[in-house]
Amino acid sequence: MILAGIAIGALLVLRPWADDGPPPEPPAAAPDLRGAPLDLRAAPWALQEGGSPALDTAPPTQSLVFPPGVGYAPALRLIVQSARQDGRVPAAATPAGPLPPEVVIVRPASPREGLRVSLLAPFGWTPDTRLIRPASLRLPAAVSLRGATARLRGLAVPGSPLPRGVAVDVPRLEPCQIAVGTPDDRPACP
Amino acid sequence: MPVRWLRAAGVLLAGIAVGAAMAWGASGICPVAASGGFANCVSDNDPVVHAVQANAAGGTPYRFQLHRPSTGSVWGWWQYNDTSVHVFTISIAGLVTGQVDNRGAGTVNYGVIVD
Repeated sequence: MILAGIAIGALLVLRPWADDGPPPEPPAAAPDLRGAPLDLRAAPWALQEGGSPALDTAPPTQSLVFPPGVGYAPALRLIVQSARQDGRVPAAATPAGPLPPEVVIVRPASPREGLRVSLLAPFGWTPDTRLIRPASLRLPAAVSLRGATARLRGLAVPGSPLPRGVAVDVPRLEPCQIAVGTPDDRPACP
Repeated sequence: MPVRWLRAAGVLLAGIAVGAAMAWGASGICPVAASGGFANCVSDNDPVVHAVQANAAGGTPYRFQLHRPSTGSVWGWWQYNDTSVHVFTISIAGLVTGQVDNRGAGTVNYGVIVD
């Protein structure tokens, strides 16, 4: 039995460092979402059954314009709340056409304009691999991973609202992912 | 109480603790050295929720991603600059591994749950 205990301990401690798996799957053909009714649950950032989709092969997807004064963080929270529940466009937002794939947000050029957020990659994309990020949530700072079990179980329930106290992580975007005023007013991506 | 009974009881309690831990998917504390790229931490089959936390500020920033070795698929990465618990809620079929890339300094422990 002692040997069994040691074996269990070893299994818990050992980690396979080498990882020579097969190459990534080729991206599946995806529908063009430009004219489709918006269901945020089906957007490329939300529906990632086969891995984070490649930015350059993901289907064109609409964007949302938020009222003046709504910032990026509140906009992301509204988007996540919708995708976790019925998938409808948040009441405060207005659908708009797709942005260039690399553009995540278009900041307003004046206080009378609203923030425009890509529904292709509202959480940005990884600069090295150009993969569309899924949403990331953050528990209150006082919560440790050990004490988070019940909260995690609650978050995993399909259709459940975003609990109070759970934040939506706001990514640090690359300069080329941020346009100002118009989608083309931004630096080129490396 | 004979020593062998105490040992047996200890192993039994350890087994119960391990069983309790495994009931909540796969979780572990993984030491990850800085500048080593993504390191595998814990794996589980058909997980629906994934969480990570750096145990020390020295291990920030760090990156977290999910990897399915059977297809080479990757979810993420995300980069974090704090010691809060960060969570993905993605339902994934197959064996999935949570991976951490320490972009801070030294070797730091990260708590990871894949369930």
